[in-house]
Amino acid sequence: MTTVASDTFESYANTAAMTAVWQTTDDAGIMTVSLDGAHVSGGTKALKAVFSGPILGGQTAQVSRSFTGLTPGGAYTFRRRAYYIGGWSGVTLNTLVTEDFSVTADGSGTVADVGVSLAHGGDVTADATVWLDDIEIISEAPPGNTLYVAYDAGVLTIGGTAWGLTRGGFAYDPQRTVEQWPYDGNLYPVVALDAVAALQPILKGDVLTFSPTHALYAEPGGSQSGAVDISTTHVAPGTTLSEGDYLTNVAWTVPRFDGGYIRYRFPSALVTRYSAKSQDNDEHLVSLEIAARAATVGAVLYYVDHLAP
Amino acid sequence: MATSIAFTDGTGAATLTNGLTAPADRFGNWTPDIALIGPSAVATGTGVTSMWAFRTDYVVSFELDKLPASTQAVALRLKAHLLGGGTCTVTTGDTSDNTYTCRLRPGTVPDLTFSDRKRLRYTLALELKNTSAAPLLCEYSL
Repeated sequence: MTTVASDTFESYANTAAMTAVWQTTDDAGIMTVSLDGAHVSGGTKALKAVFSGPILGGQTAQVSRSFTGLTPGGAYTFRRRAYYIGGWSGVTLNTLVTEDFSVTADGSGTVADVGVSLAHGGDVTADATVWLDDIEIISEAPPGNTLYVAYDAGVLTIGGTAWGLTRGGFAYDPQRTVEQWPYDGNLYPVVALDAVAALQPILKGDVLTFSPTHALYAEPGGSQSGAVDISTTHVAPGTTLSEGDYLTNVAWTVPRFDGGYIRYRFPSALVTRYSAKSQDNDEHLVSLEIAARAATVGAVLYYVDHLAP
Repeated sequence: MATSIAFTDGTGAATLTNGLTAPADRFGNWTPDIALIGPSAVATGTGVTSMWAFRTDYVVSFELDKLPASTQAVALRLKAHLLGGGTCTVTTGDTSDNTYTCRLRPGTVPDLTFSDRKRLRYTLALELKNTSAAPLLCEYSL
């Protein structure tokens, strides 16, 4: 949904004799209303306009409509209904207007001549009332500000293979520590003196699926025995893990509204913590903490990928 | 003006700095001192000290820390240069842009230590003597 910061209705007449007075505005005939996200894609706002005479025969009153605060480059549709209530005879009114419009780079746009258009065949002096109703701004394309919004729990994969069922999504934290270089006379932090002092990226979350393969993931360097009944046990304490004990390409991928994905990826990692907990009438949960490791000194620990739709 | 120590030895001109953005390039623990060189005695009757000063040394002790490992060779060249009686140009980078020509303070030895194992940084501690008859002052801003 797009938030429309504000829009402006400008009413004008083609003769000085006819004025359009909007009840919600000042005498200048300029009405500013605030439309928020509720008025986009289904939300409506009812407005009332009163045209007061006199007008001369054959003349019209029109309303143009301009917008600001929309998503640059977005495509929208403006739609409104109008109802005429008495006052003038021989009036014709464009009761339903639907028109597509685009928004320029500065977030503004204009729908020309979509407002009230009153036509009258003769001179009148009585007031006329027009209700503008069901005003909608409909977003037709994913607006830019939701382009990178991810949604739902996402999928945890190890080497491109999904772990299985998870619950509650995962949490990613690079656990980056930034420190300032110290110096004599240092009373406060200063620009361009920061250096990353530590990186401990982790993924944390709960999984439901916990197979023997997963048990070995959770016990890096551990061993298994048995064919049908399989036992997994830990590596001997004090043993330095070997390169093959680490997980490769651990990724947590979350879909975006626009069809793309945001992915948090560790080229090398291992499960540093895990715990299991059962519950009454509910699934057994295994909580994981997966920590990134650099494959070699100087290698990248993690990536944050934005994958196109 | 960036903080540095410049010198020219048999190899050529060289400059030692930690390469960090000011003010992280500042000298540390800058402590000026003055030393009167000569015999002194205290009169027994009056308790007044008398000094026969042959010369006055304007000296300073300070450190250049956070030196990256890549500066080890230059630091050792500077140490050898100073121990051999050479001079160096000390640019303080302070509020007055003080720059001094110095040599090693007699009786001292420059000390290069490995001070930061995590970041692989070194610290060079020096005691220098001004070749001019003026105090070695350095005033950094807070």
